[in-house]
Amino acid sequence: MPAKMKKNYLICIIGVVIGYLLLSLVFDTGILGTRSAYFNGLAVIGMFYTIVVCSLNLLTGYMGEFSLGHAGFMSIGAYASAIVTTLIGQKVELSGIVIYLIAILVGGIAAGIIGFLVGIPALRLSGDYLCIVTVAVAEIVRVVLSNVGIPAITGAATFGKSFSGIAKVSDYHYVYITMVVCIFIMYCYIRSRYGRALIAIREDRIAAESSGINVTRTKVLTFTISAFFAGVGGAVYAHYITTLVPTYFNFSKSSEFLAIVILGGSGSMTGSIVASPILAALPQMISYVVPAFASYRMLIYAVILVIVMIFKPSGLFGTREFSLPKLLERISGSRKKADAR
Amino acid sequence: MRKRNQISAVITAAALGMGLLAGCGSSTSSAPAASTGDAAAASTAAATQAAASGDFDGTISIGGIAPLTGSLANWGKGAVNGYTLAIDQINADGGVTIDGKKYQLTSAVFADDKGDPTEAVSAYNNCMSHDISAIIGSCSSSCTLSFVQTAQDAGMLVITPYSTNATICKTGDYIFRECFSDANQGPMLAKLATDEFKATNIAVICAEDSDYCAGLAENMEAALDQMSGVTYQHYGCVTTDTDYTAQINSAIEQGAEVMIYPNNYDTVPNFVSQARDAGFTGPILGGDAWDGTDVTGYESKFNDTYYLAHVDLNAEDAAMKAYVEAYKAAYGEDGLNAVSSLYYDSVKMLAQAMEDANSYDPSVVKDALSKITYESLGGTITYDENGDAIKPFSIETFKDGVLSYYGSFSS
Amino acid sequence: MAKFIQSLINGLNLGSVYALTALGYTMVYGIIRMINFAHGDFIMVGGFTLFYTIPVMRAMGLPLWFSVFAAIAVCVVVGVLTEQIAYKPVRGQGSTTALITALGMSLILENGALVVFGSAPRNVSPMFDLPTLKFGPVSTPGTTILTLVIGIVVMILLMVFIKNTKLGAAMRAVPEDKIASTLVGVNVNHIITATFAIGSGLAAVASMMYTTSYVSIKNEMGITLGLKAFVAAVLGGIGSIPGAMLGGLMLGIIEIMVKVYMLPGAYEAVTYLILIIVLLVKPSGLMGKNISEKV
Repeated sequence: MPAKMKKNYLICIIGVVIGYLLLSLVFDTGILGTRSAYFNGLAVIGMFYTIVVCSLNLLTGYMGEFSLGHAGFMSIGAYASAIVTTLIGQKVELSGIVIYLIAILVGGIAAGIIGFLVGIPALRLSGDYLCIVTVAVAEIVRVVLSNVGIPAITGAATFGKSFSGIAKVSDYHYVYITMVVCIFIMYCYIRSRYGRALIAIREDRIAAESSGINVTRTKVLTFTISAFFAGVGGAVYAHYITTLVPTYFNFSKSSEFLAIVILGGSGSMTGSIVASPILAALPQMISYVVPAFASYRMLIYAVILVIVMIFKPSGLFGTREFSLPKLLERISGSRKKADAR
Repeated sequence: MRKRNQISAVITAAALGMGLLAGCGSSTSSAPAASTGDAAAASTAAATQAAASGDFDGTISIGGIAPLTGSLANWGKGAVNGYTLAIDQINADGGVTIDGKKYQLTSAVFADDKGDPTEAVSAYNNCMSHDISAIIGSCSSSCTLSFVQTAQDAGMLVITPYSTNATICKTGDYIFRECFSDANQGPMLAKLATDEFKATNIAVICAEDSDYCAGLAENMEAALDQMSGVTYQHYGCVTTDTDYTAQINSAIEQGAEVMIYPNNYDTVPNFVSQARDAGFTGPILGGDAWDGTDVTGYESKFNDTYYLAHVDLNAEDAAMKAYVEAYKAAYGEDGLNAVSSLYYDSVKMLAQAMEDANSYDPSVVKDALSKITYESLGGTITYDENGDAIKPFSIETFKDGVLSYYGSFSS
Repeated sequence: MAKFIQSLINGLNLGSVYALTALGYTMVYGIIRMINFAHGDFIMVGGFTLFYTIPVMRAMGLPLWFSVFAAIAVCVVVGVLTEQIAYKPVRGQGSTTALITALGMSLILENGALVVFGSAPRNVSPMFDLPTLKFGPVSTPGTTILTLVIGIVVMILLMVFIKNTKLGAAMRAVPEDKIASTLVGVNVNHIITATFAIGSGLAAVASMMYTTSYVSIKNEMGITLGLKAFVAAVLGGIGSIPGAMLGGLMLGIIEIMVKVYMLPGAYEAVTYLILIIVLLVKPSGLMGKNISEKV
């Protein structure tokens, strides 16, 4: 069995490397010509969406609770990382990768701390009530960021509340690796003892509690991890976009994230990984050709969302996961059968 | 081949836009707004194709960015028209002459930023994916701020027609604007309140979460601080607010003679009608973002309101009259606002700078731009050492709902 | 003191908009345990109906406020259609599905309005032409007082209706016990539809009140308004009709007072902080009943 697991890991690593090489092929060789900057940007947007959506899926799919405030955690990560990297950038000259690493760590930890502090009292609630508390938290974060002169902390000369001049270090190479690592950690978490406990709580809280699972601890831990990765996503966003505006992280953004989770299938990481880049980047690519499409984007999402809810509430992938080794096995398996015949 | 692809894409877009337009009936929607953008782009494409058969020696491509959809879409509508009109006029007059050769000016792309900074970065990337010599855009300061640093690093010339935030042009030597800066607008607004309306007690109601509003208010309050015998109170709000009764009440109790509301046009009707309802009869002043305010149904309440403007569209000036006539002939009344004329002027100024520089290479044109003296529709523009425009101010007022010229200031 | 009374009137005015909207949330939640996120957008629909029908009324020579009836009609149709098309099929599929469907309907209405009406703000013309009233140092526009009176009258009528009619009794019975009310001959489906119709009608009245004070409307106006009204419903105790009224009025007054005396730019933080505290300390709100979890 360990030999098989080793093989499976190897196959996954090869898959990830192939994905990386494909990206490099598209962007580094310049076969897209002057358009590469545009598609490069889209790729980064798709990837940070993937990180945030997967982190939300951890709550929605595996804990069975909704957060309509994930944009709030994302904004905490974005602002915290941007403040730290800007302050450091004023003192010492660092290479891009170091700044990037500092950024994602700071962003994740800051959002994780807030997630922990919010989670302890809030997770006594569940369902609609918890959902509303997350909305309230995100709105408070937005209002505070709109009113406190964050840029002034770094001595920036902008007047308003936009935080501009953040180092642009979210290169797609780094972001791709970050995304893979984040998904890997979340996947491991779900497969761990805690993850199984989490699913048990989702299925029947009281039964889980009576069989000795510490419900509160598991929930708070999951909430914190989810907030952590939302913060990482925010840090990636901040260091790609270079200007932060508090109004960006609003209720509509949070509901967009939740819509993507549900459409991909809550409880399926694969669903989120497939749905996020498609739903984040594809509309932009369509409006690249057909500008009028921009107005229809969210309407189309919403209609699909309601239709999916009515006819297939489990979303695109349900709770199924895609597995490269299994796929290979199936292909080779069928070949073996054919050989045997 | 590439150009043909573009043209066919634009035509498909326009056709699709029309189809959608037919689909949603006779309503006035943002989809038509966007599709007028397409139609305009298509008409440029058609015009340039017709002109290409003439005697041009080459083409110079530029890109534009404006909010074609979103809550600031009123600006985008005029922007794309003014921009297209300028390109058409330049080409009709024989294009841009560089080294004795005639170049045709074409618009490679006009991207939509939806008034959202993230979308503005995508719009910028979209522009950069074409082989262009300059970018004209964008409207809101937050959007422009989101890409100017990247543009400066990439050596791309940016002329923002309408973003007045004081920090924009300090980004670098590739960044210019066709409008005044809030560093000048703020003191001017203070001067308007204290000199023109003799106010000694002023209330400032400002949206804290907008770069434009907060920046303008900050510059203005700095100027008020320097004046003796003038007191003012600052009241915060946010861009999504609808209720201002609390701030207005406090301002009235404070005894304000003048209220200054330096926020975007979409919230102005709410503010003015609530201020008048609360019994405030004094002047209400605003900044240049009041341009495009809808006063329908509340005409009388808008009496005694004033704002600083980049141009006066009703001026008795020959150039302005010609512009308004040409605009109406091409697009009708729709979107004919100051923003349209600023996009128009930006393109024309760029063409003049290219001719001055005898090049369309951004690194050469930028030096010519910094030394340019350009006769815009709103008055003469020159640049100071920061690359910030120095430009006269017009004061506009509403007389029973009709936008009228009140006076002018020069900075 | 004048400022305080003035602010109190403004707060009551804003609060009654919240209250009328919160009623819609509370009634629906009471019956089917679903946060109807689309409810805030019904007000936007009402607002646009007013925008388009006021000129029609003017052209026909009718009093302008007749367009309120048009708004009520349109809102009721939209509300009932929403319930029939989207909510009915997902009923019984669990609260998560219902929540997401409601969110989806809200997005459909907002973005549908974006496509149909555009994103530019519109001014709704004044429907009433009343002079400003002066009580000593306090001056208030007559329309504010009028809409305030209308709002309160509508709320009283609703109370009377719920208390004294057969339909009202059925509407009270269904949230208590669905199965028992079916047994005594109540058609639960009809009651749910009626609830949506009444809730949407109240939203139309709220849109009339809203537009007299806050003249410009746009497609996204329902989001914030809906969230605030929901906070009001939770504050008063979700599921409780008098609670929604009390919560709405309280929230309106609190918001205005915070703006006047504390933080004009950050008052929303206070609003949401109140929500969090209420939910954590007394999730059943001021007037709601505690529902213990069934094992």
